[in-house]
Amino acid sequence: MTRPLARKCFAPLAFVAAVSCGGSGEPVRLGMAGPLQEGYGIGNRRGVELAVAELNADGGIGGDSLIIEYRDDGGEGAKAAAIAQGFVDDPRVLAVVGHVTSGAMMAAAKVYDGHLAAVATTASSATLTGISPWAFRVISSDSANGVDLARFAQRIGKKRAAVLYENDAYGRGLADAFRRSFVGEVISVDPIAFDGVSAPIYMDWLAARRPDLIFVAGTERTGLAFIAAGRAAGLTADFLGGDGWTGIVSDSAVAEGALVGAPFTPMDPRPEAQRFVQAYRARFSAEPDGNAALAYDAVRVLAAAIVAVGRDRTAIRDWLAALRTAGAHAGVTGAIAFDEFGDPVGKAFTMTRIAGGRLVLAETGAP
Amino acid sequence: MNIFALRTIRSRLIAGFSLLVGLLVVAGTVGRLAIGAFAEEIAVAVTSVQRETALSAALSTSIARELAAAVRYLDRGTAVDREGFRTAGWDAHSALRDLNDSDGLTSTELGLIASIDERLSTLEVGLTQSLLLRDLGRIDAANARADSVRSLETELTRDVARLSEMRARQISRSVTTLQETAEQRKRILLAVIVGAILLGIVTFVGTVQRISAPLALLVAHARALSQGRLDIRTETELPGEFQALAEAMNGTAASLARVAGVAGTTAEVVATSAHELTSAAEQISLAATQTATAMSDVTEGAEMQVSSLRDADRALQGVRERAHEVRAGADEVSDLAAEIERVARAKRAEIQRARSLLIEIRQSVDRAAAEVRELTATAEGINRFVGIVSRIAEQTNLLSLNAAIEAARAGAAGRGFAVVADEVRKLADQAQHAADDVVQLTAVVTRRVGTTTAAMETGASRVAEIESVSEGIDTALETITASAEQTRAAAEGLGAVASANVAAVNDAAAGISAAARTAEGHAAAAEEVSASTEEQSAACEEMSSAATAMLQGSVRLQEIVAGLRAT
Repeated sequence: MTRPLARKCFAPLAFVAAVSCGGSGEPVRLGMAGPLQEGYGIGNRRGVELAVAELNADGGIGGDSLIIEYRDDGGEGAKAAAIAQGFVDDPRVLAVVGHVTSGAMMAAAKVYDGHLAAVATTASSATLTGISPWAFRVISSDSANGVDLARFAQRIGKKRAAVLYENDAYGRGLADAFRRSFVGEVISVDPIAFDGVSAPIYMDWLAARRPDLIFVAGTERTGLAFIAAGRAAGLTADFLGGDGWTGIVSDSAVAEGALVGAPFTPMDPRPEAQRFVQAYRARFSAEPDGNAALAYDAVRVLAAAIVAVGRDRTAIRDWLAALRTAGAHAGVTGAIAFDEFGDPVGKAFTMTRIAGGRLVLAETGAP
Repeated sequence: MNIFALRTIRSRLIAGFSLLVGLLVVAGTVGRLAIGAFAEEIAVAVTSVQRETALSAALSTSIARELAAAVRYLDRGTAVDREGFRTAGWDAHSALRDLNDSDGLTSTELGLIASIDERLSTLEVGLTQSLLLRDLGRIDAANARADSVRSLETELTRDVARLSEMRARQISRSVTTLQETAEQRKRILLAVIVGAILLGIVTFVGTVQRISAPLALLVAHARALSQGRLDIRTETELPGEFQALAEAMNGTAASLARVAGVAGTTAEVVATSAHELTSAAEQISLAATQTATAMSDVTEGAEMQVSSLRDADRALQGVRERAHEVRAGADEVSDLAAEIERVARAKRAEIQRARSLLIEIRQSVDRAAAEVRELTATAEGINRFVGIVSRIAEQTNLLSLNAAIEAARAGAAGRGFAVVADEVRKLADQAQHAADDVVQLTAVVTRRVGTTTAAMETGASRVAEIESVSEGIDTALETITASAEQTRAAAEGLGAVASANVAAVNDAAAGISAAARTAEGHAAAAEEVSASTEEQSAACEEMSSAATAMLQGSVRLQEIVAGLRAT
């Protein structure tokens, strides 16, 4: 059935193809916002670009090409709220991929509420759970991730943990979940800046208190600075980070041995994951991380929604809200389905260790 | 009854008051609901204000507590202050998150909340580092770090104040909206109540109007009826029940008028009848007297009649005899007519025979005529033959002449021959004479034939004339026969009539005898009649007086009816 149709669609004349495939000629438009200058922002963007390229190569959405309106919110709530208002006010934008960071999503979700469906990629803050019936995310909540990480720490025998967090919604949420779940002594819970410049202060302070695990709820930028400062201060404790840390693999010298709980690893053996990894490598000559994979899945699930219900903002939201485990969308980060609060169902972190410039499984037999 | 048609006062009242009650119920419900909804909205608004006020207060307090704890820790370095710093920080962020979750935030407000959160985060990070530096014994660095973030406090306080202001404006806007809603609902409620009151007034006034005017009309009508004015009608269109009442009154008046009319007419008729009865009774009385008188005359007349009838009987006897004579005469005529008929028939038969003979004669004559005409043709054939003989005789004559001449020439030898030739010449002459005689004879014959032919034709035409004459006779005889037949029939009819006449006369005679007897009886009866007539006369007088009484009664009735009709 699809073959003759496909042949028809690939007729030499583009407009003939558009007409014969039932497309309106007007491209399908999605918004995408995140800190696009940051490493994890770039990962997000690449995942989005790969998904769009693949979809358009397969004939677009209902015969029309898919295009993305990229906006840089710098991870800031104030900017994100303004960008979100812009998307809401542009009737051509059917839904939003993003936002990327929790703080930005916190502000933006309130703007999207009642107007525009937004599928956050890596915004994992627990405070986002149920923030709006129009807000969804493909990454699991920090409250779940923090618990996962704390249990992992316990499994590998950690007793004294120092908790550092980037002082935003993501960092606070993940740190709080970890702190509450860790069985052992939490010797400190301190906020850190986003630049990592002052990392030595923290490491010097910790050096006297001999923790066996330093959990940093933050991103790769601060992560690498703190690992380096820790080593410099003579700390022997293991460093553990969450999904924000998947990018630290870029500096394998510093990051060697660090533990990372990742929403996705290129080692995922599932065929769809491996197909994605191959495509990503072919396109960007790099290893994909959780940021790219989650953004890729967010675009794909929105495309499926538009194919199913057409260019109707409310219908798209309703389709997403009705996406349950049965009939879930097959994503590269796992089956995508949402619970009643817009959080993904059945997603778990894979615990990895950085070894030789790659994320390898930290536990044998781990999920 | 269709209430919605609103034809009757009842339906109008039901509809009007139902609507009124409905409106009041609606007004009550709307009022109740409005007040309920308004109370709910106020409660929501108040809760929202309280919550936001509490959040703002919590935010300000926790920020203040956080800063105070940080300062104390820098001074004294106690664990309580460090923990206080940390928990106050969490509380502040928690308050900010709750503010972020508030309903009805603009993107500016959301941005401001995010900005406050970010400034607070930066402040916290700076203070944390300051605390850590203090723990590390680097007091100067710690103070310098703390001072470097102090400026953020001012900005933070300013942002919080801005947010409060924005929320205050928002609250004031929602209060205004609430007031407007309240005002609007008050107006609606007022409109409904005013509408209900107006409807009540309209229903009341309308009902009163619809009752009073028709009631006055009907009262007037009833009054007119009581005065006997039956021609008055209420024709105005009236509301339901009044219409029915008016129609009933109109019907009553019409019925009474009809009764009055009939009674009046009846009274007139009775009066007329009574008049006629009176006069008739008088006439009868008079007539009875006359009858009585006449009856005496009748008695006398009857006796005279009897004797007259006897005379008539005798006269009839004569008539009967004459009738017998007529009968005999008629029989004779009949016999004569029969004889004439018989003779006429015989003559007709003879004439028929004569006519057939005549026809035979005519046919014979015709045949003879035809033969004669053929004889004429034969005569002409004789003439032609005689002509030929004549020419032979001439030739023979010439030949004998020539022979004589030759004989003469021959002289003596020719003498014998001359004699023969002379003989031949004589024979030729005789033949010539005979031919001439034949010609003359045939001419005579031809002439005679012509005469005969003419005579025959004349005879034939005469025979034809005789034929037509005999036809005329035959026709005449036929007529005679028919006439004779008719005469005979008439005579026989006359005979029958005469016989009947005789019988009738006999009957009349018998009748007259009976009449005479009857007349005698009549004379006796007339006397009885005379007596009874006198009795009748007395009865008529009684009737006359009764009729007079009836007349008086009918006149009274007429007067009463006239009073009913009076206008």
